[in-house]
Amino acid sequence: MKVSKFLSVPVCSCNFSENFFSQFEEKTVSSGNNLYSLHIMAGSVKVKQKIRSVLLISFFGIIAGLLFVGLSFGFDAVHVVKAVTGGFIITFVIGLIENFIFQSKFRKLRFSTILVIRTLVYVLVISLTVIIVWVTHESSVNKVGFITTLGSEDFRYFILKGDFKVILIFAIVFSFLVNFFMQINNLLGRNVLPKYISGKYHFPVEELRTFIFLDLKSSTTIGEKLGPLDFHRFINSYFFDIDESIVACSGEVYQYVGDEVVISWKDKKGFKDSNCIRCFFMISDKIKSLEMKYSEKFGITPEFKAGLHYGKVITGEIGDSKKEIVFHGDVLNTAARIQAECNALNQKLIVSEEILNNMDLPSEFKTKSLGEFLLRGKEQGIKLYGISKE
Amino acid sequence: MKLSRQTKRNLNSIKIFTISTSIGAVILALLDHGLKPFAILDDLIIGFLFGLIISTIDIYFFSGNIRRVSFTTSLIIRTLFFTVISAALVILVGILNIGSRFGKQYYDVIRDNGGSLMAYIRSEEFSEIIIYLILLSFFINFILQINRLLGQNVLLNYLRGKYQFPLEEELIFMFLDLKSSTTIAEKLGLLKNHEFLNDFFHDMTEPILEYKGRIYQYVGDEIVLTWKPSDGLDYNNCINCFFAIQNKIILKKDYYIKEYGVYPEFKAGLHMGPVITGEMGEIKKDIVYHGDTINTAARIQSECNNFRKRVLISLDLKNELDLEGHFITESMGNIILRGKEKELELFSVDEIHPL
Repeated sequence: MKVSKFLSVPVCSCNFSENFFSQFEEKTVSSGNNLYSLHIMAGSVKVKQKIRSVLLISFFGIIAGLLFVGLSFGFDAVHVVKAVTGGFIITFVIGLIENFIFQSKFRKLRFSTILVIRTLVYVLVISLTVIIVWVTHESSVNKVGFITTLGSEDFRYFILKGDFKVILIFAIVFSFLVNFFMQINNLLGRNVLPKYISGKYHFPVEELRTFIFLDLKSSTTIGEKLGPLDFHRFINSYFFDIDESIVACSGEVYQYVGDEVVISWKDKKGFKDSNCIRCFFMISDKIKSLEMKYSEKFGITPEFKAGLHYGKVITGEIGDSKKEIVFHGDVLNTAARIQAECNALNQKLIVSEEILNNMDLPSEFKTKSLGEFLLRGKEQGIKLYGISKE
Repeated sequence: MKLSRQTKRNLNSIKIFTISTSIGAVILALLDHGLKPFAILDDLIIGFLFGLIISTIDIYFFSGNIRRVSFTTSLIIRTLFFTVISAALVILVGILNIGSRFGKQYYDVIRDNGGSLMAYIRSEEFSEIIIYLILLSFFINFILQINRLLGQNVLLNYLRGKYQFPLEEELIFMFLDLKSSTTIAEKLGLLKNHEFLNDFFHDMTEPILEYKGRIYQYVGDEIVLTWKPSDGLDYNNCINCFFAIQNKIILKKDYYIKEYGVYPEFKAGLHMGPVITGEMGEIKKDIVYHGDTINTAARIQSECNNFRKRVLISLDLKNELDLEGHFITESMGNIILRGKEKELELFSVDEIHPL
């Protein structure tokens, strides 16, 4: 229990209170109730996921290490062993830091601050690992202690005049570039940059996609009550809190339109593990668990509704001085209109027939037929269903 | 001689680019050779010529032709181009150097087979310079491409952290919407409709840049533009922008009719007021605006059909602009904003001499 609690701390600390201590207090206060234990369970699944991704990164680290060492020093046995251990240690440590520290603590810092800190940490990890690997190797070859090796003339030569300098420069440039790309990737949206690079949507493509339109309830009233600046903060923290669930259900954030978020899944990805429906309820649970934070900070908790639809869109790059990969198609309008029906039908989540036809809904979700509707601007009726969870 | 606005804008960007490459070259010379006047002079010449040539070609040749090429192709072409130009300059300066050092005529240096010039080109120093130039060109062009993906200045704002904490600012908003877009989409089919929109947005870019507008968002067939008040009010830029787009489309009407059978007709609503600007989101970060001003601008745009007008602006914006004598304005009376008790007076704007 102790271990899982420890591991779950970074996962749960996604409530962005201004200082670390208040977070900690919150956690101890709420540790008595059911929500917290639920959180830990969800946490340990995530911990597994994260460790898996760390191991995956480490695998690539080994390959990168081999490539680097092979190209610069040649493939002899000593260098290969050094490359494998070095590559593994570096990527493993960085992977751990990324997944368990940066991901939860770093989200709200400035672009350039994150870039600088990350680059420094990467360079530090790389240089320390290189030194450790070198010292271990030398010590075992010469059969002397680590301390003796550290004090030796050889070590001084290695650091000041030898390979270390090359490795260090490489590490700095490499870390900077990797982190710069990662940051850019976040600015554009997950996996958007590779799409531009591969030119996948340079010519428009017809696709089938699932769309969720997720909208804040009574946002005008909230906006008036909070004033514009606090309203912005409110929406920002709401968008931050829902991100995790979207990623967990492999959704892509397409656009923020005011207080509305549009999430999409390509092909049948939205139906796998009932991702598109699970996503809504994960967000819902997440926000519910943070109710305290919201009412303390803003006096209001976000309530939202969503419309889901599946169909044909055209995906393609558009624009010159601001390029975007956009979706065009009737599905988007229909999903927006379905969402707009939520208030009148007193439902939180409404899905179209197309959605249900494509998936086997797990029994935890209850479906309620709402009848056939003629949506605004449409000639054909559409069957809608309300979804709720036990 | 009176230069057109576009020429001025182009010259200005050439100036900025050339100054930055010159400064960059001097810094590199200092890092590489320390305080050696000749090395600094060499690099300064290279940096200056490089900036001048690259930016001139980029603006007058590439921006017209390379626009529609995919991200990677454009990146590769530009990187090659940057590398070739800079390598040529390095060789040129090398010739000048060798010539003056050995007291030879320059053409002798070039003709001198297997002599000092070839030795220089074969030297390790030269190949190091080339590798360095390739990497640098690649990185610069990558950033330029990214900058284009994000929109004007957005990357800079992220780097500076300008909107890391939300702040209130005054902005002009234009909601520009295609008329009868549903009918067009049905007529053209999805794929053709996308190309139609892409052409339309493409043609809009130049007028938008010329009148200092910034593209905030594409929402379906709608495009949202913003101006800082100083930019948008100056020379009535925000109003001029609309008519510049319109005139551009009228000039290309034949093309649209031939290609699609329809041409884009559009309407716009403009409003000015305070908004909150800030970074938002995590897995997809955006700099977004929130506030009544945006809703009002969208609402004004939606009134265009009712009044059968192409451009409607709010009283708040009209008071700030200097339209008298430049445009014809007409009051449309007050409208009641949805969900608000407030009334807002709207005005239509028309050109005095329409194209």
